[in-house]
Amino acid sequence: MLDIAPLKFPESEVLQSLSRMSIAGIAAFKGRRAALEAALGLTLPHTPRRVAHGTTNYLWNGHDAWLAMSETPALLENLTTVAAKFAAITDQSDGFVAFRVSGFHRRAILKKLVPIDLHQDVFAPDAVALTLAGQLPVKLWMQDDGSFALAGLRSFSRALHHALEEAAREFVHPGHD
Amino acid sequence: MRIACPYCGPRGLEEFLYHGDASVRRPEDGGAVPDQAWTDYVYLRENANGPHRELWYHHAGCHAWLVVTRDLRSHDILGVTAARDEA
Amino acid sequence: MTAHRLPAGGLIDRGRPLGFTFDGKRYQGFAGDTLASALLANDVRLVGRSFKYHRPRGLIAAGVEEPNALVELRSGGYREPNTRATVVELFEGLEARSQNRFPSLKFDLLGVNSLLAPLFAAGFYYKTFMWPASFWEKLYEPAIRRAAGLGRHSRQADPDTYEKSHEFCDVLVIGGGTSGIAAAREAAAAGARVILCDEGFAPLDLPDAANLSVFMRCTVFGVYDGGTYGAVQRLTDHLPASHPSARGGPRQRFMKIVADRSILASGAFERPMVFGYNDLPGIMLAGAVATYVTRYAVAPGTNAVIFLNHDDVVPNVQIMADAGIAITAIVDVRATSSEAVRVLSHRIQAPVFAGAVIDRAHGSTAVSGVDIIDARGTKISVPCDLVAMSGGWNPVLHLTSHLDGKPIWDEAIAAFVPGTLPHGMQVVGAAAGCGINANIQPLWLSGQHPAKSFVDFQNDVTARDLILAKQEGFAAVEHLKRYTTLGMATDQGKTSNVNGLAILATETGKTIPETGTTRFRPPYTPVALGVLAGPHRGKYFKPTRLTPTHDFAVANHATFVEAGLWLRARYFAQGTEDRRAAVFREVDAVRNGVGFCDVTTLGKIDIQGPDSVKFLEFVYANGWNDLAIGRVRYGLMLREDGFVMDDGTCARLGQQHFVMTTTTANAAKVMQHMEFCHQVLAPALDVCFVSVTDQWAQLAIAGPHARRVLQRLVDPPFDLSNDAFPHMAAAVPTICGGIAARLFRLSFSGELGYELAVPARYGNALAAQLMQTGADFNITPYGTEALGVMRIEKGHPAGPELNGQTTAHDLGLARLLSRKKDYVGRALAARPALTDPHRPTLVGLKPCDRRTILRAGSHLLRPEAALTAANDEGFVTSAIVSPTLGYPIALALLANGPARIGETIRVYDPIRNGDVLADIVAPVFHDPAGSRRHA
Repeated sequence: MLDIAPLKFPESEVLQSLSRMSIAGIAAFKGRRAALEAALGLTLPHTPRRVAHGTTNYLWNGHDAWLAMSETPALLENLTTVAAKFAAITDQSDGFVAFRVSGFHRRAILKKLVPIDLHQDVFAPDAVALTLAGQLPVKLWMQDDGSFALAGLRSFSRALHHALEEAAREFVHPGHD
Repeated sequence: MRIACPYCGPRGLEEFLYHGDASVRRPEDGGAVPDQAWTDYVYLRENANGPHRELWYHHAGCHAWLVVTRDLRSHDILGVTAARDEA
Repeated sequence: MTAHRLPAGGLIDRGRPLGFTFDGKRYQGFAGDTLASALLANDVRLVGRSFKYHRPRGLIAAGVEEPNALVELRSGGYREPNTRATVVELFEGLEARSQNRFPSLKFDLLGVNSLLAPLFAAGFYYKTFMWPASFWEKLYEPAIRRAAGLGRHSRQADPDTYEKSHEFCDVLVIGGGTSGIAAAREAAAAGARVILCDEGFAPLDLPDAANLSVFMRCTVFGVYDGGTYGAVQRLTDHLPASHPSARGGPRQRFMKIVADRSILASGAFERPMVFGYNDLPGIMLAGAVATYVTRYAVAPGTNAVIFLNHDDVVPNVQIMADAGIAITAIVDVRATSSEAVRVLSHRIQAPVFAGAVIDRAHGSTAVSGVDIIDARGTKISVPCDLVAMSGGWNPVLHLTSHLDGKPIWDEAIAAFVPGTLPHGMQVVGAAAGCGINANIQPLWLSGQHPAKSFVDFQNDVTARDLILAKQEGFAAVEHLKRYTTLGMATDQGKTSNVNGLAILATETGKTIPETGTTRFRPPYTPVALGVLAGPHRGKYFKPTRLTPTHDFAVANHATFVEAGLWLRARYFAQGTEDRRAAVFREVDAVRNGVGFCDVTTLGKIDIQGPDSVKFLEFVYANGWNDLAIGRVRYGLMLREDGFVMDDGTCARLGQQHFVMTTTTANAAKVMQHMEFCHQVLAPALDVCFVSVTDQWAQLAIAGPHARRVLQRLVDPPFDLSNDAFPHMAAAVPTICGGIAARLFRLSFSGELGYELAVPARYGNALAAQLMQTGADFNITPYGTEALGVMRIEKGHPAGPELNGQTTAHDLGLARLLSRKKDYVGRALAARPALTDPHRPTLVGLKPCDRRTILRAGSHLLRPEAALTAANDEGFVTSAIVSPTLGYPIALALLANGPARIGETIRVYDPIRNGDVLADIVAPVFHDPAGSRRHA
């Protein structure tokens, strides 16, 4: 087996890496959305929202497309088995790296980078946004605990982390870790 | 400038790339011969001064191609639809 | 003492004295002062020298519209010129310097310009300093540059950091004056999300509310389409460098504000009067004098003459009188003055000259008196040390015209008011023309001294200049502006535009509406470029993209190269190797042993769906119907105009499953193109595709020993033999005990070659494993330089040949253009001009002496032809010293190239002194039969 040296990023009380997850892209073939949903046993979001099903989160990822995220390593295999007839299933577990922005100032941090309205009355708890953080395309959503999660391309993970760290700098107090 | 992506909602210009006139139609003769219809399709454009149907790509968002009707004098956006929904 | 601090009053904090320096001299002010008010309090009335004529200048205003008092602040890399002293918040230790004077404000040698003033009238540079022509560059221009100009740039990088921020609200209130505060209160009380921005720093009387954000020291500088606004908030400019907030934090913040509605409450600027020598220090706007008294407890003089044409001035004169300023005379343009003025005059015991004007002021470095021409034409000289003038108020309506709205002339108040407004904008208060210019009688020019009557103080434009411009035919207001430079300085004509075009109207006999007005464009006040860049500067100008083997490359002493946003290993120098030695070693290792290179950066697109083949047939020029599962094929993609857009490969992994690669540079463009082809051109096709560039780390493994090394990694029972897995095969084996992989037998180098993809998390580990597994074959990591050398030796087109101007025919790839199907670019690629063999077409070149290097960009001409552009027949696209051949080679595009193989051509590079003859050869230098990749 090959060793994995996981990507490591400095963390603070407001910025952490999200633990490694299985991620799979799902893109429905024409006219097969209903069959896909039946095979998965759930209704997929048709607007930018996320839906939880067991331990898997399904994030809207564009027209008739979703990203499934789960702690289960067998996610890709399971999805392929039940859904490959109805949708293109692609492994994306290594394509993205995600970060969590938390704490009282999380919106103040993100407004420096994210050009959409994150006000609590506007960005719903189950909302998903495909947008920018600074110059980087990201997928943005709120976790169940109210913190924000951002997933960016793996090759940009250091750049994304740097941008978030700089934005969070004024809210991080030295001495905390 | 802001464009209301029918999927994502209103977003700023920085999320989009402009392509050009949406009203030109690709000839359906298979392209065996480089005739005037093809040259017009690729090169000829009306220099409109008023509402203009144009294609934008939501590159930093959902990757949808959008047909935006925009008034070139006032910059008012009169309508946005997904290109895939236009027959 | 002329200008002085009043013993009481003002919004200053007398308990907090602050020391500052101006031109090296120490003074004291108070917290709440601006630099301007503190200077006046210390009787410093000479604050600058004018741009062209170096005339002594003082403050005329109290706010952002001040044209004269431009100072240089701070030092070193922080030094910033052209700041208006009226907006500088005083802090302890502030250091400011005047500009545009040598050696000092008081004794400016260039003040002698005044004598030569007639030579420097409007447009002088079109009419003078013309002869002899050679003197312009060597003498005149440098001299003029030294004499003219405003501030100096520090010439150092900006050491401050800046921030960006995105704000959203229902109502944006612009301006924290009376009208703005009222509007903000009302909107917030109604439950709207409100943002109020005010340029100043005086505290505002607004409640604390979750739905009301107040940004002080914040200028909304621009209105943009779609209800977006640009604003700059100054966070630390008012703090000394030692202040904890000033250290490390951003200096300013650029806010992009999206607002459903906006309320412009920006107030109005007062108009100067235009009369002889009206630019002397001590001649000020009446409203500004009152502001200095009430806000800063400073009296700018002791003995004032008032020059007015409307009633709004009256309360301000009362304020002056109450502060102990003696009002020597009130000069009222209006024939019978007005009731309000008469009452004032009686109350403060100041004589009124009705139907009178000021002809000129007297004084050298400050005003000492004025000549009044009364209603009968009699000249009366009156001594004074202060002139408070007001020609009326101009609504501050710049933001209303940023989206092309034209202001409208309101005859009743003799001012421009907002015309068509941007969507969602409302204008309130003085900015809308409400409650200003009561009983006004406009006067645009008075006195008999037009050459010394200043209209634009900052650019030194006089009434005479405007008259001259009209005489010379520059009578349209846009011409007037550019010919005279009226309104073009850093104050953008805030106190001069209306006076200027009104004088032009008088001269041309047109009305003011007929004359029109120039457009206002953002920014309303100067904006530092740094704040617009925010965090995106230096190495963070664009984000850096790292490959999955980046850590391995760093550990192996790679030298990196930027390929777009990617950082790629360029070569891996060992010991004291220079680039050439490293590259030669890497190429030798691949050609004779085995090497590996990270090719993750090439775009990878996963394509699935029932119509996958149809889609590939549509986007590629060549055919795909017959591609078997487990095979990969080269693909050529054209633009619709028939030129080559990109090339790559496409492998069939399943009946409805393909993986496409693109070049690194075009990955995003190809993705966009494919989305266009699908969503816009062929939406009925049932196909899905997604980028997997980041998902897979992909390494090229190439060389005679490549199979032997790969054999040790691939899990049995996978058959890697040449028969089972020939050139252009594709498969999905597992490696290293069960790791999912994708394997393609492709050769860019021309040797036996594979590309192995693993999930990106294994990138570094795979590279390390290859080093270990291939150690006995001396496996060698290689970078983009060796990659490039080898593909040139094989004649594979890449970026320099796929330059957007080449066709399939040019590149010798015409055989790939299918004749059987429609595809993007098919029609226009068949245009005779694109298939003409006389077009520059791909060939190889070898210097005749097999020694002189060739350079990309060199021109190609017949050896006997004259060296003219007309004889230029092509150019060198890619050039190297070939380690495999042992001498320089190149690829080039040459008119009718393939037909000229065997001939000699001249390779001409005048910029780099290259001039050598070369043999025209076939564009493949190593293993022309291509047998090595089939080994």
